[in-house]
Amino acid sequence: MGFDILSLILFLPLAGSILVLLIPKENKNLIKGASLVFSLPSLVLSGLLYYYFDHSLGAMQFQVNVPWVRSVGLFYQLGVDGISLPLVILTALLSTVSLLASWTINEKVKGYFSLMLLLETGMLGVFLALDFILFFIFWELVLLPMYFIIGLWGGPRRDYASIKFFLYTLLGSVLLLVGILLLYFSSGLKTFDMVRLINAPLPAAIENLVYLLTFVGFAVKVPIWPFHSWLPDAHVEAPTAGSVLLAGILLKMGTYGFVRVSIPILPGASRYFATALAILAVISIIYGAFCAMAQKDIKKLVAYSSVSHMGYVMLGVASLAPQAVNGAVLQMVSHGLITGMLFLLVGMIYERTHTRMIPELGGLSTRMPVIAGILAFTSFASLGLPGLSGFWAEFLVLLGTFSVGLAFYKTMAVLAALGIVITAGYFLWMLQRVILQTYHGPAIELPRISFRELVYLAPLIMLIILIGIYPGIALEMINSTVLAILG
Amino acid sequence: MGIENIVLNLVIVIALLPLLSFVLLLFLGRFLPGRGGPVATALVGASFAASLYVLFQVLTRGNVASSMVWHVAGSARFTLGLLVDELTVFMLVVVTSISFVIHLYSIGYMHREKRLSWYFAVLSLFTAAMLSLVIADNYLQLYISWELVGLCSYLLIGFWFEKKSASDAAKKAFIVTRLGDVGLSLGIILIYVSTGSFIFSEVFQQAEGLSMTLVTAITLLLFCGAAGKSAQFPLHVWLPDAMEGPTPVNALVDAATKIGAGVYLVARNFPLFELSAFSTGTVVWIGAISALMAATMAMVMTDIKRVLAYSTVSQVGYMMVALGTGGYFAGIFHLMTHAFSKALLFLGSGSIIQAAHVQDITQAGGLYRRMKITAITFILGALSISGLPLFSGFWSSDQILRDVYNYNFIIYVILTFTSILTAFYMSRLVFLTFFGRKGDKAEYAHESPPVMSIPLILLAIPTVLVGFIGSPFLPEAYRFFTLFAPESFGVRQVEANYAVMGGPIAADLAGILLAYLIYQRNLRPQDWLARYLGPYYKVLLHKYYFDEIYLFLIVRPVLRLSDFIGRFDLAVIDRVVNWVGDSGLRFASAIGIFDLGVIDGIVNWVGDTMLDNSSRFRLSQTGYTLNYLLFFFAAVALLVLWIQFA
Repeated sequence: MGFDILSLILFLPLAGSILVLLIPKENKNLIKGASLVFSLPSLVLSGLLYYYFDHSLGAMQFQVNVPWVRSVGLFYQLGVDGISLPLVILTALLSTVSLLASWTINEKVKGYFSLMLLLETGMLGVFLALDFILFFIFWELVLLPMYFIIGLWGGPRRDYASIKFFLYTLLGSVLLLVGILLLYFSSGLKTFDMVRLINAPLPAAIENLVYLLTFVGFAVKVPIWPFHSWLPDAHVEAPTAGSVLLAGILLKMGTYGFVRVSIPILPGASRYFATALAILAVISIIYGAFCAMAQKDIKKLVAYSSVSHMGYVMLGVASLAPQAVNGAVLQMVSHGLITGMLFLLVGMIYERTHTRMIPELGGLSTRMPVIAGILAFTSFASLGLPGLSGFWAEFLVLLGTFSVGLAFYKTMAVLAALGIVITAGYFLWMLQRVILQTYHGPAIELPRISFRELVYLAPLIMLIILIGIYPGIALEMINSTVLAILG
Repeated sequence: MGIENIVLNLVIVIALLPLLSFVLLLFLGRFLPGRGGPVATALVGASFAASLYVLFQVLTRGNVASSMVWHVAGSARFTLGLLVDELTVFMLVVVTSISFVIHLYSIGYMHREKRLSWYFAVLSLFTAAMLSLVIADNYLQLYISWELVGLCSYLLIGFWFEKKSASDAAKKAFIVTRLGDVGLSLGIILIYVSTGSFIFSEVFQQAEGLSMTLVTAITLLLFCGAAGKSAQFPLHVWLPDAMEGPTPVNALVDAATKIGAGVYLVARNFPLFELSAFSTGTVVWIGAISALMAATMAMVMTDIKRVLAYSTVSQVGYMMVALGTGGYFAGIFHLMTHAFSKALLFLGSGSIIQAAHVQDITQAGGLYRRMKITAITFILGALSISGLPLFSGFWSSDQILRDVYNYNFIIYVILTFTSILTAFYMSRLVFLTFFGRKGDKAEYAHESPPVMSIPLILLAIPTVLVGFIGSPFLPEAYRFFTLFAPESFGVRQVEANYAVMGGPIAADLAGILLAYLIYQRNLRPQDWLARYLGPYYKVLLHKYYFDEIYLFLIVRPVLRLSDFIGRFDLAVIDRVVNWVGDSGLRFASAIGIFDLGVIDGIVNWVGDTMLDNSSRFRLSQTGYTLNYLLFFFAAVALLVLWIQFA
């Protein structure tokens, strides 16, 4: 088997999660330090993975394949390609960032950091697993820690939000499992291998049924309109780091499902349902943007903006055009960075002013210029300013969708392009009321940005700019894999 | 290294110097002397010097271009490249020269501001964005710079963001132009989808083969972007509000950067526009409407900067008309003469605002004696914009009108009539500000310091002289000027057409005379215009109610819709989800009741019945042996009887 870098990346956080439990709970700083120590190696190793990865190859790399339960054809099978690797790196990065952003947590510290590390393993596993059952186990593993993080460390309505989140996604998971089993039994290959199943001959009716079952599982996670209503509540109630990972990674699990499962394994059904999916995607874009405009709570605004932005990913998936799917995958990464930043900044503002309500804020650029400046930067990134990562993602989606020969897709691309204006509208309006004009918040000293905060924001800012200036650093590997998947 | 490479590298340096200034000032600004202003000015000045060299090289040796692959997605190859042709070097010189002067002027004008290094940083970034826009060899690179220009104008118009009006204006400037930019981005996508390339030269080569409908659609979409950036009807509404920004910023926006970007886009895509008569017709009419409509509004505005803003919209209308009628020279020539004149006027108005603390021209007056440099240079600029003979603006507008005369007589009449209005509002501005009754503010006014007055003089020189390179009376200079046009566009008629020239000159003189009579000699009361125009005057004061119409037709409905959807999400979608959840709970509790009442009931009933019965049976279990014996014998007796009878 040799040096198994993927398992190392995957299980180091889990080891940390267990070890943290052994530290006496009074020793808060040790707990925080130890969890950082167990999270950082995954980040460093995934960086190495990027370096040693063959970006021009569309196939799975660094594969691990060990028999697990022979009788049913279950394997412990991991691997990365140009679609999963960016997400693995994003997960490792945002997890470490989230730990740093959680330094101010002082209640039930041990449980919190242990759950965060467990969550990291779960998320990494979803992107690394190549065996359907393994994939599903990690998929479910993500659910529990997040449920507890929202439910125990969340805001005032945390009980409602966490149960809603849990039940909603559980419903999706159950159908996903049924879909996986149906695929297993009808493919005739007696395998859960996600790579081998690509060639499975399926009757059209079965394929469509599997698509619909898995669709619900993925759509709830994305979330696609109208399955989104768990998201604003979960985001608003979750602690900052919870929101960051929820928006940054958990939503991508859904879209990853479409790119990893629906498009390659169920290509016929993907084409069959493409029109419907495109319509839902555009509704998500426009509807999410309008909802965001109506919000008074910045956190809710950012939450709805996610619904809108994930719509671009889905539009790219629906159009099945190479540029658009490239754009969709890039948008996953870009949205993870940008929206992760937005939640971090909202958290920083809330910690200082003790409010997230837009009408109660204003003039922050005079009181905390650096944070306000970074908020402006991130908002412009989110509204797709060229030269930053979001632009390429959305532009490629629009370009690809428009290039599909049908008038329907051209119309969808035009509508999606109009969504960009609404996005500009709500972000600029938010900026005007939050960082511009005069300050009229609570008359207290607002601390300047701390070194720790700068440390965890800096890599995200740099990546947003880097991908914006040279998208090839991500697109090269994404493109080779996308071309392989679309055949 | 060949001269071509030197030119290419130099062009990159020209764009990078202001960018360097931005980065330097953003991070180290507060440590720099004058908090960075002089450094930024020097760097932009170096760009200007390099631009002059590049201009000389390109005009004598020809175009240079270079391109490399940037990244690939699917089958789409994105390239980075430079195109340094006549149009590019022309724009480079105009942008860097004006930007340099504005940087210099800002050192004086803005020195009391607390966010000084931020101001200079963004001013430099603005310049860098505009420069990278004009050196791009493909649509995508152009679009990226284009949006950066928009971002910088947002940041600078909203520089005094503590004021609600300033932050409103910044937001408006960004969103209105973004609306146009949707058109531009779709146009670019359509170009790529139909030609498979983003590179100008490749697209132009294939343009002949495209269908008329497609070319028309592409050019109209591109023009949406141009109209937004260049503040043309009906997307002009952001420009007057942009006057909330610092005055030097207005000079930069109106003369060299944002406004110029739209005109540049049309000029750059001239080979495409030429193919579609419908598109050029649209460009001409939008330009003519903008020219006339903005001029009428400029007549009644009392804010000195707003008069200049509407004047910009009007003059850019001239440029669009020129480009639409095929007058490629005339369009970019007017862009240049207008850029110098308008920058001069804005900086002059800044000097007035700072010296006399007055922006309302009805409150000013008699400033001439107090600030002669400002007054004289301002008057030169006003005369140039009015198109008075021998000033730069005259030569360029004369060329435009000559082209238009051959194209469409109605447009010619509209533009000539606009010339009367232009001369009138410019003269009104001059008479009310510098002459006539001394305003209260004039007492304390004083000439601005050299750091501000020298830029005025620097701009006054090209304002007067630069037009001669386009004068039909100086063939040598004109021949130099024709070097600016790519050969493919053909060299246009050079001879002066006195009939065409005469109309506008008469119009100018009429406008100036009218303003002189009203505002200088007071032969008519000051509110003569208001009385004469009647209700129309009110319409003009309200800027044709554009803001109100947009508020009513777009802004309010959008906000209402978003409010509605926000409520809908909570009241319907979320309620359905909660209803499902609650139903689940209710179902569960119903099951619970059923379970308790029915299933458990049956079980309990069975148990209870057993208990009941057994308790009855228990009565028989008396424990008395005699009773048992009695039962026993009774049973035996019954058994015997049964056997007997069966």
